[in-house]
Amino acid sequence: MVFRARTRSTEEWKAVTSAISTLVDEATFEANIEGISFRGMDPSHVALIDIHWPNTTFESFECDSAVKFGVRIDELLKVIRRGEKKDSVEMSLAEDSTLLVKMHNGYRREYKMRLIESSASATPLPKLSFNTKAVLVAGSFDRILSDVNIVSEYLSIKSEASAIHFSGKGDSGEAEIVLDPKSEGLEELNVKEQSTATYSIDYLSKVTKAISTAGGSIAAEFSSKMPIRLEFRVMNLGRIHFYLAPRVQD
Amino acid sequence: MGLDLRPLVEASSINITELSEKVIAIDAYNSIYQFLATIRGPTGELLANSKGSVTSHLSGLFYRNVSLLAENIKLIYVFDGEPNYLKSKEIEHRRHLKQIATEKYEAALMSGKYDDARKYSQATSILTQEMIEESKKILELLGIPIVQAKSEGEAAAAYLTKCGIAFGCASQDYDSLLFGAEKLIRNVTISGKRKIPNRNSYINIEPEIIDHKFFLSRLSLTREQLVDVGILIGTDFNPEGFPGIGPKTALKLIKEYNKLENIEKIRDRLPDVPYQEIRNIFLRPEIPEIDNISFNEIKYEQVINFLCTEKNFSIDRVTGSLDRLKKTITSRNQSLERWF
Repeated sequence: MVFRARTRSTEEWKAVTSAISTLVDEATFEANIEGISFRGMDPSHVALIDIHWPNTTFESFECDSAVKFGVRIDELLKVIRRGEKKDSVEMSLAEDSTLLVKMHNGYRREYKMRLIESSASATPLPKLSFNTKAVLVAGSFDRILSDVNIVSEYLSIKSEASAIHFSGKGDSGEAEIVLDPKSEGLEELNVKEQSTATYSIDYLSKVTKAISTAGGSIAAEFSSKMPIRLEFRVMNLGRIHFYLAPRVQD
Repeated sequence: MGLDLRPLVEASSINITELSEKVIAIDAYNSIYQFLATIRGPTGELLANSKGSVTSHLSGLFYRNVSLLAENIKLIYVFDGEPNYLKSKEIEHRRHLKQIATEKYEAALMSGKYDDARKYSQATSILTQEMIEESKKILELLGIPIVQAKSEGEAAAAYLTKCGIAFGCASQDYDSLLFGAEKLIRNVTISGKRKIPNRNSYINIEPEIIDHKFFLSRLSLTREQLVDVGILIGTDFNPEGFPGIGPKTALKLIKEYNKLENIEKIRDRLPDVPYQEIRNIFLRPEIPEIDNISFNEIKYEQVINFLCTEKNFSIDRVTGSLDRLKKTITSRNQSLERWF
């Protein structure tokens, strides 16, 4: 069995591991000839991350058979964070069920990490159809969340043909941010049907902060009282989808 | 007092939030007895209202269920029916233990040893018909469905997991595993901080889960063999078990000889034990009537009426708990499971 994957910088692994670490303590990655994937939910099954990282996005990728490997995600994140931005990262599996992480760019770091037995069972994907799609600059979405978070723990999103409203209401007051296609930060708005739903800012904010350090944009898709799906469009990463169930509304 | 399987069991701890949206069948008598044992005053007296009627069971059922409902756990309480006649020896034994505990409790009270009194009091609890009726009433007002077993509650609860209605059974006893419960969850109704008897320290009790299939495969036993292991150790239906055979020996014997009938050293005693009947109790329990299980809305007004007006509970505490629950329910985050 051979598995060896190399990226040109630490950014990709940092984004992936910190996103996963917002939901779970232990993560099981699956590698096969096509690339690396991960799918998992937080313990209360409110949020789900679905990652597929195709072989073509790596600097080099070798994997001759399908293999699963489980890690304590905060341990892996600590290791990755030791690397510098421009370090290349090479991950490989050793015979003694350890994960080798080599990071270098002049200075060479090598870590050998103990793998854990993966207990994860297969996670299905929610079956959804979306009536609203908004593509936002990653930093812009993060700013909206922080703005609303001052007054509320929940973000309500309302879409209309020509604008999208982000709002929150709390004991201290209310906040509203309206974006239309001319606004800074909104790249695309496509509304098949007006939609309204409310989501926990905590979940949205943690994952957005984790991934948006790598820049890029976020496609947010949802329908009334249905889960939202965030697609993080980051260079050199395939698919990162984040699903979040809505809150019950009065 | 239930079957001693503990030495053979490896439970994994589980966070109560992981039970969100799951249906859990609770062994009602088991949990009410827990409340009667633990919800007591400093000298071991049961909580009672100004009219002198006991309220420990209602207090436990109300506050505990409110917090489980806030976690969005769907509960079904399963009540015992008529006990099997084979259980009479065990029931007599329990009555005897309660009597002894009651005598010790009273003696400790008389001599002013209040710590001892509190300790002995825990084993004195008697569940009256009135308490059972009141328990059913508060559950109904909280919108929690009740299943009445014809005989063993744990058998009916296990059945609910087998037919897919419930995710797991909640009980402190391991008997559920013999009845074939898919998952046994312990400490559901008692998790949290608990005082260690006789010491001034506390431990944090967390829920733990035992998966039936995993448990059997780890021990490489069939369900039939597990029942035989139980009979060797001693179940509620043959409480004395077999002399000199504890959980570990029992496991070893069944693994070596496959079933009770083949074990040389119990051959003399085995005919005195109605083991075929006991096997049937565990492996072929009667099926409860379960046509109308529905998780209902909480009747807030009526809960307040029952607990505060009839039972003299503090209106501030009760309405405070209910208000928090109401707020949690109306702003709850749903789970993705609905969309799978």
